[in-house]
Amino acid sequence: MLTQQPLPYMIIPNPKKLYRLFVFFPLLLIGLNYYSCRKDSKSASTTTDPVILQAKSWYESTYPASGANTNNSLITQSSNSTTGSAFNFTQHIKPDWGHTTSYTRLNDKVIEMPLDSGAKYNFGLKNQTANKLYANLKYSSSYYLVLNDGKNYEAYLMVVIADSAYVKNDLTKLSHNTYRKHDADFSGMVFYFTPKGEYVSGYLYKNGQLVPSSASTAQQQNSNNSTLKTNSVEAQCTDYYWEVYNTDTGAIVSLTYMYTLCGSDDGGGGGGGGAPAVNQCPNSPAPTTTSINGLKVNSAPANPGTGGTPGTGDGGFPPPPTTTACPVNVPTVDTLLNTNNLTQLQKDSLQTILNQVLSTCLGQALNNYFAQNSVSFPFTANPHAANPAQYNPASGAITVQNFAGLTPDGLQEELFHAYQNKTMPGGTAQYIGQPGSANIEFEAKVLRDMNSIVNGTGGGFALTGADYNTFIENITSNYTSLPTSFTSAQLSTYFSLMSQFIQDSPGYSNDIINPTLNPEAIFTITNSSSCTTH
Amino acid sequence: MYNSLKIMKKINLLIFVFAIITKLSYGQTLKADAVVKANNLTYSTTSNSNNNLVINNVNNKLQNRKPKLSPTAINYFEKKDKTALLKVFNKVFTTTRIKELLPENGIFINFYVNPQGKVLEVNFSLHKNTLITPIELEQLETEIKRDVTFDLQPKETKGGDFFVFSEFIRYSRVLDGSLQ
Repeated sequence: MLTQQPLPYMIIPNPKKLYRLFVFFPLLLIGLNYYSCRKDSKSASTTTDPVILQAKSWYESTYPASGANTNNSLITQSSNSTTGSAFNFTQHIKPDWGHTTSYTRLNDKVIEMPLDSGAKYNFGLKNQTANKLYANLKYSSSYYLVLNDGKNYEAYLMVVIADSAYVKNDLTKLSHNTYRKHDADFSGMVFYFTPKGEYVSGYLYKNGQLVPSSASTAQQQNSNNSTLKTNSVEAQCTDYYWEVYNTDTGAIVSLTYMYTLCGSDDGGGGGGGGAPAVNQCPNSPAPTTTSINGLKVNSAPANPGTGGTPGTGDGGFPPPPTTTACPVNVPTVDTLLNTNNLTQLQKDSLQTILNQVLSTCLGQALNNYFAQNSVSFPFTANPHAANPAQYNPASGAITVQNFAGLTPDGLQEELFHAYQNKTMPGGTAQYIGQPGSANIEFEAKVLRDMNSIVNGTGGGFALTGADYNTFIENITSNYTSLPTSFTSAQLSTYFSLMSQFIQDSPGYSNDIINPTLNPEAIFTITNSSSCTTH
Repeated sequence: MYNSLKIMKKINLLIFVFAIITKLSYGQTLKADAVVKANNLTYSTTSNSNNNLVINNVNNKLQNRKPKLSPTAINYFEKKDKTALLKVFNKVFTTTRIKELLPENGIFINFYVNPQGKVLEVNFSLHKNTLITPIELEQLETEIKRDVTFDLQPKETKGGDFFVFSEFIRYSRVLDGSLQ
């Protein structure tokens, strides 16, 4: 019998061992996976340092926590003190008094500490116009700062968002950037907020250099006039919001308007390796106006050179300028709507809904139009009104039955009716009870449905059934963008569905179709927005 | 020698069994004009004029029926828990899986809801070459029906039987946690 002898250097796996490996290796992997999923625990240390205890006592009496608020519902709000309070960090996040660092900087006694490990929130700057979030939990670090000038305390939340190009997968670099010192090649953003969430100031760094606002050709924009026309150049404006999200669920818990910047790209096309323009909102020195490439822009403090700030030269981040939060401008109900007849409570409700409308590119486009044309609407509440919300083209007034039933989609639809009235030749009052009345209503419904589906909010469509679904899918290029026009086939389907709409909707059964009145307002508004380029 | 052969056979058998399980779990793909079985549910697929797949549970009855009330009767139609749908997606799909699905952009879902806000049925519209499997759709449908509820106003739903809420869920929003 001929048998082949194995070569001396060949390793023949023992089948029995292989079998054991085959069975037990997956079990080992499962075990490791389970272990890795277990939550880390961290023991809190206590401090007996009287300086820390005094600062803690001041902080806790100045910013008492009325109980942890873990409500994850979206709060879209303004940081403008006249229109509502911002996301109040003191009610959600605590300083970690067990891990403080104390030092003196710029004549202030500084206590710097991380956020309490129980904090389940991360933050980011959101370019609402482009729906782009500048945030990455891995590249962010946040600190509480308590400053004492010898007389008074001040507290801030400092958020550092590093660029991935700077981090280069070395997450240890994040710890190099604190209030006191940052890396010489740091690229990213740093923001200061009051503990109650009011935006104080923000700075953009590239390769360790503070990027002045002037370099970004950006201009803080009064949102009452959101498109600038300077030397025949129409500048695009970008709204920036501060997004707070739950790190466990990923759910957004707050979206707060910060500022608007206008420039030639991305609100000014700031640098920072992908970081956006940052409105520094410097209070000292006061911003002055200069002109770059035909655009009037704010000038920022002088470029400080590597690793420092003007007047400090110590390699740390610029200090929060003052205790006063930035006076940001947000479109308020009072600038867009005449709300004299509303109570303050109603105004507050309306402002919250308006903020949500303005957080979409379509809402912004509508607001831009009304601001440019100084259009304002009387806004009233009437529980006996025929419809939950309606726009009267004759009086130019918007009336709602009540605010509990008013949704952002509902308000946006009425604002679009106002836009139709202002932009269609002869206005829309001429169509009341006449051919064309169905066109006016159906156009608004189609725009509402397209907008809700593209923005991901969803809602009830104007029509049920596969035909309408397929139509919306088709005209929004698979739910990605609003159309700039209809093809002739789409227009034909549009009119066919309009006919079905008035048949299926008792509230609109008296409306009459004008087969020659094409949907033009949809396209004038979408073409003036950024909604067509998702 | 005999024992070794016996153990090798066992290994081959185990490999075969794992391969079959894997095939059953993830191998089934969704193609147009077909009936596909998941674990407990069966889906029918059709191709619409945009070349997307429309997928219905074969037991669905509402998609071909007109609701008693016109959709325009409803003005207030919101999810009760804004995070519920995100939680459902995170339960059904891993981050890695969502990243695989990103090129498809998202999934369109019609929620057929009773006047009390309970989801009765769902149907889906997906990319024609979707990577989603019938079993994943079944999990999605089951979790949605269990965990997602809607808020409607009784005075608006009076006399109604069901209402349809339509939403396009972008996978990128599942990934960054901003899905509402």
